[in-house]
Amino acid sequence: MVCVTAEVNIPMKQFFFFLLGGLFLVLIQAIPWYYVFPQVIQLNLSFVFVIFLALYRPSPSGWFLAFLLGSLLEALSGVPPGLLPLINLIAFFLIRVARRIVLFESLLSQAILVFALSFSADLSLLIITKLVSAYPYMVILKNLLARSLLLMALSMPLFAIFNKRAYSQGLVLK
Amino acid sequence: MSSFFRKHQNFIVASFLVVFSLSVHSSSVRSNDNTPSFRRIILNAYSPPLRAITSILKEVRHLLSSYILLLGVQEKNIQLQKSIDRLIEQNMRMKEVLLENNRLRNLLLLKSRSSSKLVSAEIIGRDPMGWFKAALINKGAGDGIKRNQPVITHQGIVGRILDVAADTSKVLLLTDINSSVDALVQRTRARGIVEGRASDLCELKYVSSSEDVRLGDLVVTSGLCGIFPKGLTVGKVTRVMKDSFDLFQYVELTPGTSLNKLEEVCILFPENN
Repeated sequence: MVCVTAEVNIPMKQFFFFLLGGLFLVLIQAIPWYYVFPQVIQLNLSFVFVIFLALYRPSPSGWFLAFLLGSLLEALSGVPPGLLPLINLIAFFLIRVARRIVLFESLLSQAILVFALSFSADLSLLIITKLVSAYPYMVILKNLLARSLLLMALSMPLFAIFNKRAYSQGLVLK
Repeated sequence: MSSFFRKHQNFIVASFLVVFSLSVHSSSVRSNDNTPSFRRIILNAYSPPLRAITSILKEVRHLLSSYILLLGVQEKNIQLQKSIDRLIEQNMRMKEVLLENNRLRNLLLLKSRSSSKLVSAEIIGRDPMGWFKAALINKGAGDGIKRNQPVITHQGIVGRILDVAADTSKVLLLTDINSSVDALVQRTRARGIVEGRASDLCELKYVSSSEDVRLGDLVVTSGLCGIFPKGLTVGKVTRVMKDSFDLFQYVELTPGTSLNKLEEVCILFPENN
């Protein structure tokens, strides 16, 4: 009886932990930080979460959370509808494919994965929405590199927190 | 059947979500009537925390400007009387209040000048993606706001309402790449379409090379796009490039309103409302 309860509770607890984590990261992204910090760079923090989900939770609920996070961002953003969930799902799929070749067990390899995917996702978004024509190429490159590097640096503590929490809930790299 | 589903559940769920996203994107021509209910729920859910955080951020800024930035001055002038410190502190407070008053007075002036109804709103959130230019305001359907209503300040147009929830709305800013406004050069009446350039600038497109456009020319709305009334300031011409072989000239604008530092805006209601 105890075993059954544990089996049912742990995935639900994980799901709500992931859901709340994702909601919180989206909230942080939407805050108008320029009220206090005029030059702050906006980072897609929830994308780190999508990568984490792809590594640790490749179940239907993981796919669903990746889709949901994209939809949440899209609801608060001016981005054309359907694009962000699609980009999140493609990133999720690419990680699952890459996992057949590379394990991504260390924090560093996970951070490099964040850099590569964040750069590619942002670039794809800019190309699809034709934003590449709105900025000079050098500005785009500089911004993409800065954002991806910052996200990579930030992903390490985030992954450390997520990992700790995930291991405490019995979640392992799948 | 159930074992087949269990075996391929990831593939089935992923395929369904991808197809759903693609279908949403392919039918992404936004209807003019209502904001989709999912988006309304999200906007409503994020509105209270964003309002609270924005008010905290404003308090922090006030604290920074009135206290912390003065700490150095206080140390240097430690010999001065405490009353002077208090006066400086009060002065800083007054300056902040004065700036806020000026902004609000400008909005009120705008209200009294305009024959249309105006509703003032506060910016409580910004586009979470960074590449796009949108903002969240603390007024929504409860205040009578509808999609595609113009958003302005006393300095000019800001954008238009993109999505509406109960007490929050999303504004597509003038500088967003998806934004376009029919406009004309005030001096010569040369017509064109103002499109966002994403980098805090706009471009006045489709202006014939034979038209006379100069640096500093004011660009105003033409009233022909069906959203903005005629004569609202869009921005000033900051760059003109002409090529004798091209049909159109390149005209770059700086918006009248500083869109990346927005704090308060007004939503314009049609005159017949």
